[in-house]
Parts: sequence; structure tokens; C-alpha cells
Amino acid sequence: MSDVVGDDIGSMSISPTSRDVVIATRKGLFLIDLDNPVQLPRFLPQGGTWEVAEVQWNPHLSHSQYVVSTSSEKMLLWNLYLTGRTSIEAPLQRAHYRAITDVNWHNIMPNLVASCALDSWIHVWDIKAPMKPAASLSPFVASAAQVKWSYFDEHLLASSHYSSVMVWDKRKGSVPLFTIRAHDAKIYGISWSRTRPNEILTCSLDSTVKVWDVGCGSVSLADNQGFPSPGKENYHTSPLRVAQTRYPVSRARSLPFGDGFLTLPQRGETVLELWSHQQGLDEPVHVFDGYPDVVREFVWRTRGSSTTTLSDGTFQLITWGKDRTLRFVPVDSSITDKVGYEPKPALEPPNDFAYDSFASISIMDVPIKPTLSAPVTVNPILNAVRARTELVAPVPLESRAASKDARQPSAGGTMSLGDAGHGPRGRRRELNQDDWAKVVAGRPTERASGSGQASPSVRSTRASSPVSIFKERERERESQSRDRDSRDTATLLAQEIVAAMAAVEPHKIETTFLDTNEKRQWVLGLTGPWGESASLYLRVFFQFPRDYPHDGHLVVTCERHPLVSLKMRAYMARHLDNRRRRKRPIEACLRFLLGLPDEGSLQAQLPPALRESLIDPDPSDAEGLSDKVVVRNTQETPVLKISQAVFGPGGVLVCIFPLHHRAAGGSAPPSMRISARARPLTFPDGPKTAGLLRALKFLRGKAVGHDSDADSQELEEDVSSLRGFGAVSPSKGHSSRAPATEIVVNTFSAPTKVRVYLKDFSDQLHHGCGLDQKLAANYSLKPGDPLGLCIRNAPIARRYRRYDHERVWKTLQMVIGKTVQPRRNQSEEPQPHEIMQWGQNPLSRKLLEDLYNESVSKKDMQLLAMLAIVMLDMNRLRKEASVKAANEAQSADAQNLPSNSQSSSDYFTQRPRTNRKPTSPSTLQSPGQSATRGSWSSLSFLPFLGQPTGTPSPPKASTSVETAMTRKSGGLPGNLLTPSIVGTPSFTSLGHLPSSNRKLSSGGSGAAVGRSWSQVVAKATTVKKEIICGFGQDKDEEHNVQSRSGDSLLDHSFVRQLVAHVRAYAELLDRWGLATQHVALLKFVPPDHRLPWEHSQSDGLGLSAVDEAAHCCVCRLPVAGLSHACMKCLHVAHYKCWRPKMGEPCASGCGCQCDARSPQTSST
Amino acid sequence: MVNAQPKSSVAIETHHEDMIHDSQLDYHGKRLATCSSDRTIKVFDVVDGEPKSTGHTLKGHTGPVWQVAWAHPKFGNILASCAYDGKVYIWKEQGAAWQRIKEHSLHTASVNSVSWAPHELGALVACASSDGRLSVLSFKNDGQWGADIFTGHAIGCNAVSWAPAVLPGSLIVPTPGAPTVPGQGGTAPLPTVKRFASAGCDNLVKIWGFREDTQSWVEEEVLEGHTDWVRDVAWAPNIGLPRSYIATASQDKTVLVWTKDAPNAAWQKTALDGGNGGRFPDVVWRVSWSLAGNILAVSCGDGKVTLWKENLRGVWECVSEMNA
Repeated sequence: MSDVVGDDIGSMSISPTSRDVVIATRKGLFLIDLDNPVQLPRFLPQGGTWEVAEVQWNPHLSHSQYVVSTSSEKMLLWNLYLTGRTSIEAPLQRAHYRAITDVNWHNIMPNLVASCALDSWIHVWDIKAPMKPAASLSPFVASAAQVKWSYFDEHLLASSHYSSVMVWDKRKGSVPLFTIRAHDAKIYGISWSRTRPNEILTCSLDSTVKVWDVGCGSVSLADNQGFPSPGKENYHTSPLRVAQTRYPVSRARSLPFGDGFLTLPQRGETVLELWSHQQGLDEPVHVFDGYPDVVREFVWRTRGSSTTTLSDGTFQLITWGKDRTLRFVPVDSSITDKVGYEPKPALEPPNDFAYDSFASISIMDVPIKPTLSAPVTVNPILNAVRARTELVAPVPLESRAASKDARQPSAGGTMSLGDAGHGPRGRRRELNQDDWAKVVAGRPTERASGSGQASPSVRSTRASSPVSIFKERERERESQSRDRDSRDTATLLAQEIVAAMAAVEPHKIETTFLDTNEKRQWVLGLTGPWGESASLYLRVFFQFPRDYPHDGHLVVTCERHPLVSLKMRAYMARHLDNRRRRKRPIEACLRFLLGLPDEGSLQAQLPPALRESLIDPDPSDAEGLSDKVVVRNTQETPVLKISQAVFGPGGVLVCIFPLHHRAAGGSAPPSMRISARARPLTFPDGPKTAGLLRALKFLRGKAVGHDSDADSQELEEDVSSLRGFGAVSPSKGHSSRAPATEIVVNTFSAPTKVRVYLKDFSDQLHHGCGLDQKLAANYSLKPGDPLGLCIRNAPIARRYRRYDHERVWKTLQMVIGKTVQPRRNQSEEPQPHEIMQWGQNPLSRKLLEDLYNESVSKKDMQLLAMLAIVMLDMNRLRKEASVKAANEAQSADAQNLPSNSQSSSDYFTQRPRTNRKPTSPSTLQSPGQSATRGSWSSLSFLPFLGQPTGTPSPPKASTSVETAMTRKSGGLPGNLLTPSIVGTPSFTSLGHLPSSNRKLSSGGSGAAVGRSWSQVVAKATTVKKEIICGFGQDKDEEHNVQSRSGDSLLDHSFVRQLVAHVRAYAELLDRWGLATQHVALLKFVPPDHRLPWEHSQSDGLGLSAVDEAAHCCVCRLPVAGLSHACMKCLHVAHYKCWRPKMGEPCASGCGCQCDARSPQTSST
Repeated sequence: MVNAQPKSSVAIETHHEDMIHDSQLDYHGKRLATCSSDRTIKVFDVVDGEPKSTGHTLKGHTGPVWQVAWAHPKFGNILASCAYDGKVYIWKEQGAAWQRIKEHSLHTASVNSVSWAPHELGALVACASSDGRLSVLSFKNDGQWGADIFTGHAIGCNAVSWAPAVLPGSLIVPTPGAPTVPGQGGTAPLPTVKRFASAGCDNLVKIWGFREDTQSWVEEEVLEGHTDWVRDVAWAPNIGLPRSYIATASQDKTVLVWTKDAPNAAWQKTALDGGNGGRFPDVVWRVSWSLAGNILAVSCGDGKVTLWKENLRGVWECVSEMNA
């Protein structure tokens, strides 16, 4: 328990329903269901560093969710219905400036709470307005130790200041009604009488308890005149009664029953004494003793009653002491009689129904308010199996059953263990049910049987000795085996059940009924792998013989389930029968039913990850059963991955590495260091110890970084095999029983020392393969002007020192800009289709191809995409131009002069020339222009050839293609290559490209190369066309060819590949958060390659062809700053324009529902 | 380049109480999800490479959580997680809170891997479980969801990885009669393919494809090459080239890179040279491709992470090595 609650002891309070107690410690609140104390407490973390001086549960049923606790000068108001990150509704602070010593809820008004502190102030808070105190009082004399509200007068409260007690009327303000100088030493506790309105009890370090008459009934308070003046401190000079004790008194509190009080020693003694006013205060009427250590706090559990109306007369004294053990003492009528308590006739409480439902709900089971966010399932396993949605019923069935169980007059205060198997709720995960259950499991039996000096049996009431439910010493456990009365077997049985549940996964088991005393039956539900294809929920009945733990075998029966086959049932029955005769039959049977492999208690102590890695197939399972069971037993899972790395967008590598010890020293937060503290673990001897030992050693090596041990290599291999084959049975390999081994390891902290790193590898990725986010963000992506694209982007690349990109852009610029450039100089309007002549140029094509192939081999996504958009764009322009030209040609066909055919016979340039006679001749400024037909195409690319030397080499007919071509085209004259052709100003840039140089050196005959190129690159159809063109006789036929498919410079499948590049890169841009660029890039995708949702045509796109920036589709202004780009229709809008229209169809009118990223899940 | 080091390395304090099994950045790299043996998932915001805020904790699993996977943002902020308890949960961020919107509990044993399909295919999740089965969940617009579940590797499935939605070269024949614009070739957009690879305890890697006509998943290919359990499989992202890459990591301490040059070609395998007689020093747990598909990160059991790249000669070489 001390492990659980922390170092300090804290304080305790009980709920108004008497169902739960709260223990407040530095760590937070622990809520314990008294009907089911072995259940894992609900833990509400506080994370404070201050010890808790006082905690009090609101005593009003209507406000039973509120608890106040202190944390130094702050007071914390907890709302137990509040889930989420914290249950602290409000810290009540900024009033006290020193530590708070006491808090007290108002006994009449449920929303008021008083606090007092060392700063001598007393504040009254209204939790409806917790920002500041509702009233403040201070005597300015000494620090306040206690504050208590009267039970009878809503305005009256008393406080203790060192040796004085002051009584205040909260209406009166700064002056106390009067002051009692009560004791000679510090007053530790005050308590108003519950029976007489004007009596107050004080207890002090001077070992006395005094009762004072404060002389003011609630009636007389109305009249201030009847009061003594505040100055008269000694007005009440003598107490009504005095009780002398042997010890300094820490607390003396009026009883909730009868007429008396209970004293609690501050030190020295470990007894609680009951005093009666009627019997006189000469000596206590009853002594509760047997406590091993000083009791810190006690509460009365008035079970079945509210705090004000007591009826059935059953009480429990619950104590919380320095030994951090919660103890219960039943108080029966033999004791209550002594203080003059007479159980009232069983009056029906007026609010019977309401009360009853309240009392039967533990705060732990109170349904969470529906307004809260996360769905909290009561039992995840159940939900999974039956798809049951929980939390509608206000009282979960099992808790109701448990409370019923607990309310049966339990013999000798044995608490019901009925519900130990409650699965840990989601909100209670902070604690480990295993730990808690183990603490419970170690519970000793009736200690009256023990004879040692430590036996704390109660003198006066043997039947009601304090029953500690928590840890006890080993030797006492031994003694229990000698007791064979029925209660003992019941306790043993309960222990075994709890232990078995702790050993298997308790959350998989749902107890529906448990009686260890009378019926000795346990009914539970669990989920096991017994169906044909899925897990099934089974009900299982355990029936225990009367002398079970000592004698006899339990009987296990499973409810017949329709989905469990007959064969499987027989198999189960056989194995259950086998297991029920084993040493720990309950655990063995549960394991079998849950589909867990048999394992010793050894593995139960391991953390889950390691436990799973050591899962041991049951040899008896392996024989003669269906595949299904084999599969189930090979539940190996990828555990213990030491390190991992996963790529994220933008070249970030997410790595998981174990934290090295050295590295941990400085940077690890304190919490890490605490968790890394060595924790001794004892492993009982078992066949698996050897393998485990290795694993542990290995882990330790990993954690500390001492891999250099001589045997570490071997260990490593061993462990890796362990890890790899979770199914490997160490029991086979190491069947010799290893001796009991105790190892002190700090290994289990190793997993927690795993850390996640984000490693930015973007630079590295770029270095070799070109991805550059900055370039991506800055590149111009404007369709319709490929040349402009190159011209603009080259300097951008240069700016970011990406010279490789710059070279590519410049090369591209040269390739496609060649024929345009001179025209611009002549201030003639460039026609888009004219630049398309690049396609006939063998060198430029080769250049492009080489660039492309190089990017492919480097897998340079960015460059590939850039090349792709340039090519796609040119392709598109060409198509548009040729379509347009074809239309014009249709109309202008008749006007074509015969002379045209002479010079326009070439396939590629025929259309332009036909349509614009004035301009087309000027394209060529070479003297060769008027030479033979077929020369046209040669001329246009002549500048590329042999120009570095200026001396054309003779035509080289080295390739068969060339020769074939030459043959076919009827012997093109090689002498067309005249050196007098247009100069090439930008030609020097070619020198950057080795590939082009290569071509230059080998290229000889322009015509021949040109032809061969077309053949190599283009498909057969093109070649055929070319041949036709070459002869150039039939214009009509030529035209047909062209309109059929000839316009495209690129092969279809190649276009598709380019589109794929663009898409892949676009996806990358999207992941980088460059939505605008993403959209802009996708506009290069030809319409026939668009995916269904990219339906809009080029004119509808947000990008204007004129301006570089995208235009908002709402206000039509260029987009700058925050913008929203729709992933479906690619429209861009200012964020502020788009925002109000969110949820409406796209503002561009394209009909798209642009809120693609809204919560609605769409599948496209 | 051989010992390339990251530009920056940021350690993130996750406050997990136990081992961390997976960590994934979301689509935009703005969020990090981690999952752990402590049965929780945590989500952190990452701003400029630094985690901000203490993160959200997603609780609900009852066993160690093995993997998490982010869906494409067009479906919302959605996270899938799989755990030892045999469950796959789908989480959604709604407002400031994460809510569990779906629960897939058809598997009867630990679910070891979960992976979202490329977003072009819709909201599909593939899961691999120790019960030997693979499942594909499909989420539809109307909130309905379906699950295909089929046996993948009889004794257990360890990992799944989706093929890119669009595989160039996967379609040779253009759709006839498709052109709508005159003068335009008969090219249809590339068809999307639903296909994924799974790694199993039977030492095999299998490739599964969805048949639209029968509406079922069919085993298309089996890649044999490993001699022990295959721990992880990763299909490389496609940058538009016809060649496909798959990397597999195995218990036999090898990493194989499988390549396929054309849709009808056979898969060719190449082993990475781990420096230890062709093997890695320890079991290889995980392989992961960079976004551009050119770098492969290999996580080995000896605690090292290595980065691999194919050089121009087609040989894989190690370009970086990282230790804890």
C-alpha cells in the first residue's frame, strides 16, 4: 500500500453515503469502495509536492461529488464526476498565504466550506463562486489549527488558535463572538457536539479533552446583546467536563451515535478510546486497540444510514494509520450501548428511494456525465464481444451485486471479496490492478489465532478484531493453515481466487457471483478463443467443495455455447478436468479458458512486453488438437524492437532508440530517473529462470550500455532468439531446475528509457537526390509558357545554390527557346506552336531524353516532375495549335498555292507554313531555305550541329537507321549543311551538358541525324508519316495522318509516365504543406489524364495564365498569404474569402463540395 | 555521404511508461503519434521539428499497442491503431479531443500491423494479425464500414504495406473510345489498383490484389526468399517509373529488395549487404522508404539504423548509420 499511495500518510474522509472513503496524499486522491475494498482504488492524480493536511468529503448527499483537500496554501476542490485530465474543479487559492491546516464543509449549507491556515485567517468559500472567499475572519493572534462549523447553527463556526478557541458568527465579521482560553498547550482538535447545540469539545497536547458550554443556542444568537464582549476572554472560565488521558490527544470527535466521543492519541499509544458523557469522563467506556502503529485518522461508517438519521445501528470504525493500512472494526450494539445509543425503530427514511439509490452507488461506479469526451467503457472485453454500449445504467450490475453481498451480515467483519475481478476501468489505469490485488492476496486470516506478541487482537471484543485487509507478515500466513474452520477455508478460497485473477489478466474476467462462505460458488464470464473463428464470451461456474483448499477438487462447468462445437467442448472438458487437479487449479483453469499458455507465477511478475516474449506453448496443448489452438499458441508478436526508424514527410526520420545511460544522466527528467531506480526482483525457481536471466542480463546491458561484456555477444544471440521465437520453450532447453535466483536489475526501466527522436535528413536526401523544399516553394509553375517557366526558374535555382537545377533549366530554355529567340529580337509576335519545332531536333530531343534518363537513374523526383511539366506543357501547346491549325486549314485549303507544297512539305512545319505564309519563311534565315524540299527540318536544327567547330563533318551513315532512312527518303542531299546558318548565341551553354557533347561529336549529317532521331524516338506511325512527308506528294493524306494522331510529340504511355511523375511530386508538395504549388502543378496534367475529381477545365482553374500567382476564386485577386486550396477541384481562395463559405459549394461554380478536409470521411 | 548525419536531431519526451513500439508522423509531418506497451497512444504536435505541448493520450487498448497509422487528411484527422488485445481502433480528433470512432475486433489474436491505403483508393485499412489472417476495412461516406477478412499466412501475419495507388506501366492498352477532345489520343487516366503486400511467419511475402469483378482479395504473387519469419514489408512510393520496389526485413537477419520492371515481369530480389557475410548483425525489424522512394531505412536488432540508397549501377549501398 505504501508503494501505492506514496511516502506520506495523508488524510482520510468518508463519503456521505458511507460507501467510499477518500485518502488524500501528495500524489492525489485514492477513492476506495468500502463494499469492495480489494478493488483497485480510483486514483485522481494531483501531482502536488505538499503533504495533505486535511481532506473532507462533502457531507451532503446532494453534493457528494465534491471533496476538498489542502495543498500548502491552496485548497483543492475536487469534482469526482469530472473526468479528463484532472478532476480538480477549482483550486481555491490566493487567499491564504501560508499553509492551510484544516478545511470543513458546512453542515447545513452544502456549498460552503471553511478553511483555516497558519496565517491565522479563516476563509469561508462558496463553491458556486470559488474565485474568492465568501467571508474572511481573522483574530490576528496566532495561527489557526482547526475550524469547524456548528451542526446546528448555520452561522456559527469555531476555530482554534494555539491554546484558545474562538467562536465566530460569520455574519459578524472580524471579531469573534467570544474566546475561550481552553488549554495550557496547543489545541489539536475541536468538535461541536452533535447532540447539544451549545457544547464544544477541545483536545490538546496537555492530554486533556474538555467540553465547554459556549452558552449560545441558535436562538440566542439572534440577539447580540446577550453575548459577552469579545474582550472578555475568560468568560467561560471553566469547562463543563474534563477527561484526562494518558497521551496527548490529536483528535477528539463527537460520535455520530449516542452521546460520547472518541479520542485519538497524537503519539505514544496506538489505541482509540471511546468516552461517554453519561458515564462520566473518568475513564473510557471502550478501548479499541491492537493497532500496530499510530492511527492517523478515523471515520465512522454509518452503514445503511445517513449521517443525520441513524436507524439500523450498524457501524464500522475505519482507521488509517502510519502503517498505511486501512482497517475496519465493526461496532455493534455492545459498544454503542455504552454511549447510550438506542437504535431507533426502523423508520422509513422519507426519501427512501432516492437515498437508497445513492447509497448503493460507489463513487467509483458513478456514471460519467455524458458531456464528457472520451467514451469510457465499463468493460472493454464485454463491449468487444457483445457490442454492448455501456454507461447507460446508473449502477453497473456487478457493483450492485457486490454491495448486496457486502450488506449481508458478514461474520466477524470479513469483508466481501466478491468483486475483486473488476476490470480496471479506463480511468483507473494509473494504478495496477495486479499490484493492488497482490497486496490483497497477502492478506492474513483471522489474527486472533496467532499467538505472537504482535498479535493485535482486541481485548474487549474478540469477535470484532480489526480485520486488516492488507499486507501482513509471512509467518502469520503460515499459521493460517492450521485453522480449519469454515471461515478460514472461505478466506483461503478468496485468496486463491484473487491470486489467480492477478496471475491471469484480471480485466478479462467478469465476476457475476461469488460466495465463498455458503454456496461456495463462483460464477464468472470470460472471453476465450473457443469459437470457430472468433473469441467467445463464456459463462463459467466454479463449484468448490466444503473443505476445498485442503481437501477435494473444485468442479468447473462451462455454460453450453451454441458456437462451441461438440468436439471442442469435449476437448475443453478433458483439459479442465486435468487442470482442476493441479496445484493451483483456479489459475490453471482460468488460464486454459482464457487461451493463455500455462505459466508459473514467475512470468506473472514480468512486465507485459517481456511476458509476451516469453510466452510458452503448453506442451499438453500441442498434442492432438486442431490447428486453431496451435495458431493461438503462436501469438508471437513483434516485441522488444530495440530501435526503429520510420520516414516522415520532408525527409524527417522518426527514430526510436533506447536511451543510453550516459545520455540519460543530464537530460532525463526526474521522473525518468526515479523509474530507473534499481528495483530488486525475486524470481522463484522455475524452469524458465535460465532463459529469463539471460534476457534480463541482456536488457541490462542494453540499458546501461555495457555491451562489451565478454559474454554479451552470446547473450545477445540467445536473447534475440528468445525474442524472435516467443514460442521457443525455455523449459525444454533448460529443463534442469535452476536454483532460486535473486537478481537486482534495473532492467525493467530499460523499456521506459526508449526515446523518440526526430532526425531531419532532408539535407542528406537532397544531396544525392535533389529534393528541395525551398525550390519547391519558390518555383514558378505557370502553365502555357514553357519557355518562360525555364527562364524564370533558372535564377530561382541559382538563388538557392542549386546549380544542377539551374543548368537543367538553362538547357531546357535553350532547347525549347531556340527558334523563338530570334523572333523576339525582331519584335515579332511569337506563336506558341512555333516553338514546337524542337521536336524535330534530334539533339534537343536527345538532350531532353538524356536529362530525363539521368533523373530517372537518380530517382530525382523533383527534376523528373519539372521535366515532365515542361514536356507536357509543350505537348499541350502543340496539340492546341495543331487542332486550331487543322481547323483553319480546312477552310483555307482551297487557297493553298502549289508553291507552298514546295517548301512546306515537311511534316512538322507544314501547318505553320500553310497558315501564315508571311511569317513562316522568315523562320529561316539561312540561304538554304529555298533549297529542296525536305530541307526544312534540317535547317531548323542546324544551329545545333557541329557549331563548336563550325566545320561540319561529312555525313556519317554509320547506323543502319540512318542508311535506311536515307534510302527511303530518296537520298536527302547532305550538302545542305552549310556553315552559314544562323549563329547561336546561347549555344555555349551546351558545354554544360556532357550528353550533348557526346552527341555533337558523333553527329555528322544534320539531315541524317534528324531523320534517324525521329525514327528512334517516335513510334512507327511517326516514321511512316515522315516517309510520306518526305515525299510530300499528297497533302490530303498528310493531313489525315496528322489529324489522326500525329500532333502529339510524345508517346501516350510516355505521357502517362510523365503524369505519374507530376502526381507523385504533387503529392509530395501536398505533404510539405505547399498546397498552392500542389494545385498549380496538377494543372499541368492533361485533361484526359485527370482523375475524376480533377474535373475542371483549364479555364476554370484558379490559376490565371497571365499572372504568376493564383487568383482567388471568390474575389478574383491574386492569392497571397493564407489561402485554401481545394484538393478536389483545385480552386484556390483566400482563407478569409473561403472561410465564410465553408461548407458551401465551391465559389468558382464548378459544383465541387470543397470541404474535402472537413470531418466527413469521403472515399473517392 | 557515406556517413551522412542528420541536419538536426530532436529528442522527444513522450512520457510513455513502457516500451514504445511505433511512432509515425502524419501526412504533413505536423503531428507525431507514438504507441507503447503501456497501452496508450500519444499524439504530439510538431512545429518546426520540435514537439509542442505535452500531447494527447489516447487510452482504450487493453494490451501493448504495436502500430499506429495516420489516414490522409482529406478524411479528417484520423489515426488507426492496432494492439496485442486483437483490436484495431480508429480514432478521430473532434474538437480538442480524440474519440474512438470505430473498433475492429474480428481478429482473434494480436494485431501486429495496420496501414492505410493510398488515399486515392478511399479510406481503406489493412491489418495483419497473429491469428494468421489479414483484414481490409473499408469506410464509406455514409458511416458504414465493411471488413474483408481472409487467411494470409497460416501461422501469423506480421506486417502489411500498400502498393502505390497508381502504378505506371501497369496499363498497356489505352481505353478505346475514350477521347473526348478531338485530336487527342485515346488515353485514360491511369487506373488505380488496390494491392498490398503482407509479410508472414511462413517466411513468405505475399501480394494481394482486389478483384473488382468478384469483389474479393486474391493472392497474386508469392515472394520466396527469406529463410525465417518476415518481420516487415514496405512497398516503395512510386515516383512515376514503371519499376516497383518492395523491401522486406526478416528474422533471418537479411533485408531483401524486390524489384519488378514491368507489370508482367517477375520480381527480382537483391539482398542488402549488411556487412556480416551479407547478413545484418541481428534480426532486422523494420524497413521504411523515404517519401521519394530513394532511401531505405533499415532498423536492426543491434540498435542501429542504417540508410540505404541504390547507386547508379543499381547496387544498394549504405549511406548512413545511426546509433542511439
